[in-house]
Amino acid sequence: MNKLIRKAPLFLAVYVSLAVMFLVSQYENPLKHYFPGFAEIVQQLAEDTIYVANLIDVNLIDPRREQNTVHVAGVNIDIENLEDINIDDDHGDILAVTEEPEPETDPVFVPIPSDGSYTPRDSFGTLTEGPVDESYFDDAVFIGDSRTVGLSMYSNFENADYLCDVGMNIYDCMDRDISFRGNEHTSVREMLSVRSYRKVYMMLGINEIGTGTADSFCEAYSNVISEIQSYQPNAIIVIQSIMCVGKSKSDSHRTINNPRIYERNEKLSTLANNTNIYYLNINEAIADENGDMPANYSFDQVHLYAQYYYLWRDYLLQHGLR
Amino acid sequence: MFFSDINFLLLFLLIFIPVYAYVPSWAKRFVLLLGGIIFYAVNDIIVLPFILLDILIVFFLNRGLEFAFDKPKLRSFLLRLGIVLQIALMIVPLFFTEHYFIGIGFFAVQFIGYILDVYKGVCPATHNILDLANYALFFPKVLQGPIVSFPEMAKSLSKPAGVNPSKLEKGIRIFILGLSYKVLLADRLNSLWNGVQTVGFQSLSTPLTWISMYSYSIQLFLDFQGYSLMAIGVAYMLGFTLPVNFQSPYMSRSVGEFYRRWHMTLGQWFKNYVYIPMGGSRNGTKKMLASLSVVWLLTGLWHGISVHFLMWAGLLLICIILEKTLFKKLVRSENIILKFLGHAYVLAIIPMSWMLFAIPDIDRIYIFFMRLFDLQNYFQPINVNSTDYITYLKDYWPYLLGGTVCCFPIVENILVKTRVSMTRFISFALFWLCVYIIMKNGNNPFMYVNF
Repeated sequence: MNKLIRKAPLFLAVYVSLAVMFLVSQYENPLKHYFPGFAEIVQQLAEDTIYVANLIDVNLIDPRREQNTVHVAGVNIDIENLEDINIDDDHGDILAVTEEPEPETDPVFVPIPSDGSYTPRDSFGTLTEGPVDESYFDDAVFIGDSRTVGLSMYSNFENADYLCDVGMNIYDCMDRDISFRGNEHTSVREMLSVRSYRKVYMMLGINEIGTGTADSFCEAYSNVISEIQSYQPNAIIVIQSIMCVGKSKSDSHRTINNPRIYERNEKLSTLANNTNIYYLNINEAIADENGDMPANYSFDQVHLYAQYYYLWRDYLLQHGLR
Repeated sequence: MFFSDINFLLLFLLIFIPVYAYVPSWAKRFVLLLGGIIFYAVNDIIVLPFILLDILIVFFLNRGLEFAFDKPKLRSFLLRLGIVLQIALMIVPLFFTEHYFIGIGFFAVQFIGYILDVYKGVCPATHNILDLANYALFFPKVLQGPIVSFPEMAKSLSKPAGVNPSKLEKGIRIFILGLSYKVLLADRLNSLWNGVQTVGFQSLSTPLTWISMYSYSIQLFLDFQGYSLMAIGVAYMLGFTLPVNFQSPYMSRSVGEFYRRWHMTLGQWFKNYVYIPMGGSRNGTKKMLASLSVVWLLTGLWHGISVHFLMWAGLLLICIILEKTLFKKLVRSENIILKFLGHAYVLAIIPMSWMLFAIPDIDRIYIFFMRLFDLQNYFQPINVNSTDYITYLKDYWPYLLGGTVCCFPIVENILVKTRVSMTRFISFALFWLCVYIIMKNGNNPFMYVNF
């Protein structure tokens, strides 16, 4: 107890500083210039608390009550179809519910551009490539590895969704534990089955470049595309070519080299059917005349510096599909 | 094969220690040498012949120094020859190959020290080449120190004490602590540092720049201290005592004090073989400044022949000179405010000096510091994601927090110095956690690349 009392000033200091930080985050001040996300963190903390409180509240409700739906964290669950939900009989908890992600928007809501340029997906016609503006990515999702993680941070496509993770590859991309919009443990499969998109942009292939052959890789890719289509029947799939690497990396690495990358890209391009699967050769925007990523674009000769993500971004904007 | 390598942990160590413990004592020295040679060969078989040759040369050179005790000219020639040879061993490969000679700086420094000791008559030249070879190739310290002088080890090398249970246990505790520093914290923080370099300094937000600077400082300490602890631990298991290399350096109040507590064995080496012979601090200010400058010039060059290492050493030299002249009284004052300011000064200047140490390219150093202080008049940042530091903090806060705690001596005191079953259990758990993490990364088919 004495120890605790002696430590009291320390706790006090921590609480005071937390309070000051909170106040600082609430008012307009020069610190905001340096810590622009701080207010959002506080906001997020509050929201999380409410979310958790809601969950606890819901768990107290007996799911077998005479009520047709339970409103859990923004998702309406039909009690008549409860067979699908794992119920722990001892406690009466809805276990599956806690794993259900909270969609930010209504799952079926898809914004449609107002300029009339949009092709309805009931019948896929051949789309043509052309320049688009950023709103084109409102209903797009990017699936990919660390390079797409970079895109999510430095493309400034604020409205697109990014289902990506460092180390993601074609073999584990559907099941891999990823975090998405505050949901720490979800997967691409889970998200694709809840949310709805019109465009699915994929770039995978650098992590598994040492595994299998170009054919086995493309077969796996094709399987993933089929699965994505089963969740997103209205979406077009855009296969982005595997981005090339720098010359020094390419020359020194047994598997991560440009000949291998281009071999696989060649095969990937054959997956496109130009009705609902398209292929975009991103390397047109990145590679130099020898097909290598220029050395000054990257620290590790694999990932673009943040300042060069505009090349990729502009390419996507120039090659929208409609 | 580093200490945090699964082959070392579960193969080399598990075979070597029982063998070393159960062979008769006359054979221990041979087993030890064999272990050293195998360990070095696994790491770098190309360099091994050069090292063995160097051991022979130093052995005969030192014998020569003793035989020629009445011929001062010959002696000074032999001395110079020896030192030049060691320096050549360090430098020459840099001009011919891209191949980095592991641990060569440590070999050279220790042999130069030994030659000087024999020359000055501090210790006799050894008559037993086996002892010398064991001293040079003693596998716990062969890759990264700690630097030990030959007389310190000579006795225990010529009559190895062998493995005893209580020393074995303490050694294991020290080793596990070092392993945890390295595997659980330093390696994780390393990916933060890699991450910010991949983004490019020109696109870092200012908070992330600060975070990455402190993260690197913590990482560097834990990595090096982790290695030193592992070395000390392995040596202890075998019945040898190696000197301590770090004493919570980030708790210092001045840069001078910091370097008395950081990589202490190297600091002592420079003190004994450069600083004091050149005049040291007892022969007037001029001599002190001259010897300090030489010490820091050599320290910079020892880390690598490159401008940024010289800048790093230069910055530290300036700080230390100021501390020894203008601010002498302030540094020694017991005033609580001055003490606090001293800590703040060390915690500001040392991480910045590490940036000079870590970034090999002057332009990138410039950009880093412009981002650190957000001097937009001199450098306009490009495509900054202003909330990037939140992403990084979310991913790395446990390691940053854990790393910060480990910069204080508390963890070491609890895990190494207390002998209750609780800490025994913690050490045991930490070991298997480390093995798990190493295996997980090792079994990952995408180990070398995780993009």
